[in-house]
Amino acid sequence: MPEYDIEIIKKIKSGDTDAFTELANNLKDKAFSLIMKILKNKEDSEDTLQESFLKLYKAIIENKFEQKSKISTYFFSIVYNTAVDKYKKLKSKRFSIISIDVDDSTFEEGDDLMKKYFETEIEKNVYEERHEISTDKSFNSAELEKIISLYLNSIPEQYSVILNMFYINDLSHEEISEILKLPLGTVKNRLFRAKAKLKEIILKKYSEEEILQYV
Amino acid sequence: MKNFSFKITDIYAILNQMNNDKKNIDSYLEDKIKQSLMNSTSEDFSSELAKRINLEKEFVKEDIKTFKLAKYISAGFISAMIFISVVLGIIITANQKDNETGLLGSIVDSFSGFIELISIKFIDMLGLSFSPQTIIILILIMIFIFAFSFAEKLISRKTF
Repeated sequence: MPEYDIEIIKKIKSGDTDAFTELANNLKDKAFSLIMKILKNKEDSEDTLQESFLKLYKAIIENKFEQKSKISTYFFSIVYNTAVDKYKKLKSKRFSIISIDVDDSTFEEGDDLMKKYFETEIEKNVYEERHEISTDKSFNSAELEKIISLYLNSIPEQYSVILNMFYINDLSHEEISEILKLPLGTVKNRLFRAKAKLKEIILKKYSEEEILQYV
Repeated sequence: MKNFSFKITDIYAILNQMNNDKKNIDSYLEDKIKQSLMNSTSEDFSSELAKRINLEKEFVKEDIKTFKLAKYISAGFISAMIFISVVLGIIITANQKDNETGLLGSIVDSFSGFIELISIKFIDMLGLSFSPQTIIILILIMIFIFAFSFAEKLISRKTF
């Protein structure tokens, strides 16, 4: 465990709430991004984040955090599980149409991004339904960001959660696999496919040369 | 006429360049993905969290107090049970040896009578037989097991 984690845990245990606030400030946006991928609602996500921080605080005070992993890894695991529990509660209340518990039997593993109807859905979202995106083929960095953002909002949670855990929460493939209780191969596969599909969508609009000019 | 020369290293240079371009596009897209994935909490989030943490801290303090009190009460209860069991055991043993009469003897006699009654009921119901002494020893063992497991739970339970 990093030196910083050991120090901050000591401080929190000794009753220093400022130390916990410091820790929370370092983790809050990264954790919030993860919850937003699951709940897709700011208010519910903030509530869930508060609940997750309280769980972390109690775990530290009550010596439940075994200090085997980094504190951030432990916390993101709490965040994910709390968000999924919240999602299930909200789902039963609101009959939401979004689904995190997709029945895998209807999908070939790692193949869902390639399903015809799904591809069409994403590209429809990215290019056709959003009028703010121009049909002009010349490269525009802001527009590229918009396309990426729309894409990330369109892909199923199974993909956006893994992307978030990898890029924002800085979790390794192994850690993601452990938190999500998925085989390591599935995690790598979903990560690869989510990126490959994005690249494919972008390269339909811009050439590599055009993008490289801005790299 | 211009001389045209082409070395094998040129091919490597071209392939390397292509590879670098690919890496550049990938890392550029990854940076953009990171930007797009990031969400921020509202401005008052930290202050709200600090309030809840301070409140939680107070609850933890109260819990510690309650836990300590419960621990003392349980310890007192267990001690009393053990004391009663030991005294009862001594009295029964003494009664068996001396066959005393008087108040102490009559209490033990009525207790034995009660146990005997239960024993007879057992014989009636199940066809099983226990002597009053066996029942008393069994009750004492049960009391000890209960007291021991309760005390063990208290000791092994992590304190705050």
